[in-house]
Amino acid sequence: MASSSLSAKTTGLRTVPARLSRWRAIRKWIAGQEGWVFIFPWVVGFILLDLGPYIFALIISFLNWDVGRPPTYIGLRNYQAAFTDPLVGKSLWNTAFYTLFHVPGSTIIAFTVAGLLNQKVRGMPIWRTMYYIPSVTSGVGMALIWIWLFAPRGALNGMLGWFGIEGPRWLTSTTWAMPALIIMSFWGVGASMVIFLAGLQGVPQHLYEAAEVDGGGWWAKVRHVTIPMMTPYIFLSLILGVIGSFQVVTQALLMTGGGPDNATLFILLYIWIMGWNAFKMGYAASISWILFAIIFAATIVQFLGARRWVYYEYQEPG
Amino acid sequence: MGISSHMTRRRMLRIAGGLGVGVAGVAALAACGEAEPQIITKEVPVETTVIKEVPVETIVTRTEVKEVPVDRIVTQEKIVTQQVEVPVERVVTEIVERERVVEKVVTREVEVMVEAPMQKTPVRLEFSTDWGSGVRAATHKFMAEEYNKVNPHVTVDILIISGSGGSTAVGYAGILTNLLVAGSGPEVMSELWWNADLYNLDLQPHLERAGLTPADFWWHDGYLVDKDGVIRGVPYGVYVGAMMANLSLVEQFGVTIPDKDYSFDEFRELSAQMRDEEAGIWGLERQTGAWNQGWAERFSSEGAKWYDSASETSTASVATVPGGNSVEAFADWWKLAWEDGVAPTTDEVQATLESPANTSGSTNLFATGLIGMSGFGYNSGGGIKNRIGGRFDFHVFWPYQSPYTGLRGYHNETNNIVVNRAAEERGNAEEAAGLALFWHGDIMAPYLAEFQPVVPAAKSIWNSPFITEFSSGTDNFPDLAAEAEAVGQFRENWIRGTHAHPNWLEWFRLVLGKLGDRALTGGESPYQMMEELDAEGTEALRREI
Repeated sequence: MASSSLSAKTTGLRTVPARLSRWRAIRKWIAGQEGWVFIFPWVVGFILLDLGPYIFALIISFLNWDVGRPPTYIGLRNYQAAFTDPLVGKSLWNTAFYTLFHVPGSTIIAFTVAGLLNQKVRGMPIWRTMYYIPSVTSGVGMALIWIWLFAPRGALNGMLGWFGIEGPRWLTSTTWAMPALIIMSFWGVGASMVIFLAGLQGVPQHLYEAAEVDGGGWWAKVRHVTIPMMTPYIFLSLILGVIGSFQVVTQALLMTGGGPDNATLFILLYIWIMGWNAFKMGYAASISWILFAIIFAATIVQFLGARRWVYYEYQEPG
Repeated sequence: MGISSHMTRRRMLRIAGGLGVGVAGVAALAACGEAEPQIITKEVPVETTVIKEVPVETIVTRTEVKEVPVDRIVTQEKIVTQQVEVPVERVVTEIVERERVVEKVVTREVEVMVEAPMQKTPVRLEFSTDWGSGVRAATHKFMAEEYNKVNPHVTVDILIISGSGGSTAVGYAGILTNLLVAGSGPEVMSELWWNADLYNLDLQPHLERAGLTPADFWWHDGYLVDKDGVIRGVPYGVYVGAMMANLSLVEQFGVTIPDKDYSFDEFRELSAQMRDEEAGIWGLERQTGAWNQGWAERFSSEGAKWYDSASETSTASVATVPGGNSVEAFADWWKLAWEDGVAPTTDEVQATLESPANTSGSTNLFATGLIGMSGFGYNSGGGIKNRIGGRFDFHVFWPYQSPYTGLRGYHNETNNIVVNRAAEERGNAEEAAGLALFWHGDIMAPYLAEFQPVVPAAKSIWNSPFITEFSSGTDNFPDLAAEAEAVGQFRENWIRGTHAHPNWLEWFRLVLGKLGDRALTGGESPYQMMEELDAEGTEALRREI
């Protein structure tokens, strides 16, 4: 109290009791932690539902375990085997190939569709809903529809026939099965489209007006205003797209079973087959961790690269 | 002044956050603490355990338990003692609370115990299957109902996992093994062979009690006997492939279906005779899969084993019968569609199904009525009959003889019904084992023979008119099955079975990819695919994990 009085005399300011000041500091600290409140449900979910399985998968990756019998410790042999397994290589290549086409393709399509849906046209909510619905359709239902579309005499080949093109055997050809799954993947661009749409609506109008004043046309506005302002959204879409592509499995499981002759054997499908068909759980877990490392590395690379091309309107003062 | 003027968004968030943390904290504390047992006060009228050692040649004990509603158990026990000269070893009566009333009576003279009507403890059994539709699903429903009639205290729930109508669905084994490990697996399971020594009940005593031996069945140890030689399963049925012909087309083209012995050339010629391009009719449906006269049978006639576990070598191309040539036998099969044109290729199959000539609208090629001959599975005759729906008659006949060995090719399987060992702990092992054997008993075996979801494995019924008159030509079944059994090409030697290689799945995926997908479906060179299978198959078998 004495120090407070002294301070008041020298500064001439109203005295603040120390206890009150400490309380304010606590309140200020609490206010700074409110972010935790928002991520609290995720943290709880992560700890309860994810972290345990992650640790468990790490442990069993060093074991030979068929689920039914007691496991035996085999050190790094699962990892060594994975690095020499041609099907791990094949499935990683298939997955990378899919990613290479699916991610840019779906980003471009989603961006384009979002641009179209950002126009002032009558009945726009209906259009937006129509484009979004496929992304919330069940994977199984979608697979069944696409099996029909890709049938040798299905709708897709029927349409190609209009132009005199004899369509391939999409799902039973080692050449065409993977492109078929990539084409099908574009059906689900709705989620990215919604993100882009939100981003497009947040681009300040005055930037377009300024571009117009400078004589910029449609393309100049897209190139110098829309795309730079949308880079954070494109970046998010790429991050999620790459992670999602490396985990693609449903279509192959339902439509091709990884065939023909492993042409659509994705890495996650191979993990599943090794785990639940061959009951080589340790081996499956080791491939899972290799997959994790690949996705982690890809994400880091993307973040490092993002510094060069992603523009944030609000930047922390340097 | 309204609330909104004081309640800023930040304050609302803090309050909401605080509440959230509070609620979660309380929930977490509640979860961390030891669960307080819920106290239910309930009167249990009688709850006794009586264990009596009864001297031989003195006493007969009868236990009468009156019927009681599940929610109000009143158990009355009446012990009657009288002088009778019969050897009774020991009588143990245990009465456990509520609906799980378990009575165990161990005696050599069972007749003594059935003198008085006895109310047995209600038992629920789960029977798992992937037979989810048609005649196969109906069969299991019938089994459950009939077992309940014979054993009124037993209710059987059919647990259909992945109702794929008979194929061994990819998810079926995975789901069941999960359940088994978790201790909640069904008491009785069909089509599962996994760690049999750990999870399956020893069925030897039950077979013995029923007076049965493996010789009474279509039998192969692969899916029925564990590595220690203990019987852990009974067969599900007879899985063996013959040929069938559409009798309407046979009549239309004026051809004769060959008798037992005929060559591959005759077979090809017959297929060609039944080809009518204009009418969209094909002589043969040539399978792209393994069984029901597919590629597996082509290796079988040459004595080629799929692979050799001891040397870890892929041996599908190695014939063991003198003069045999499994590569050429497979190539011949391939050529029927891709060179000879007597059977449709993949595209042509699709075109046939969608052609106006397919007035039936069937999605099953043979059932369209546009195919002269096809493979016939004795494991699915009922399904075939249902799909044809009486639109034409069909004739079942023997497979052709290999031009290289003169032998017919077969691809056999027993499949299985197994009993979960956990049934012992649950106190319903007797009923569960009884259900497994019920499948082969006097009620189910004739039913299987009549409707043929699969031909029954019990040999005693193989000469039944149900089987021999199931369709034209099925009188060949007993001889055909005996010949196929003698050839011994059972798939459980190589897939999943007790003696299958640990990397069997890796090998099998290769054979499906090379021979099924690329050669037979895709039209790629059968010779090259066989070469690739040999090389990559051996590599897959020798991989360490």
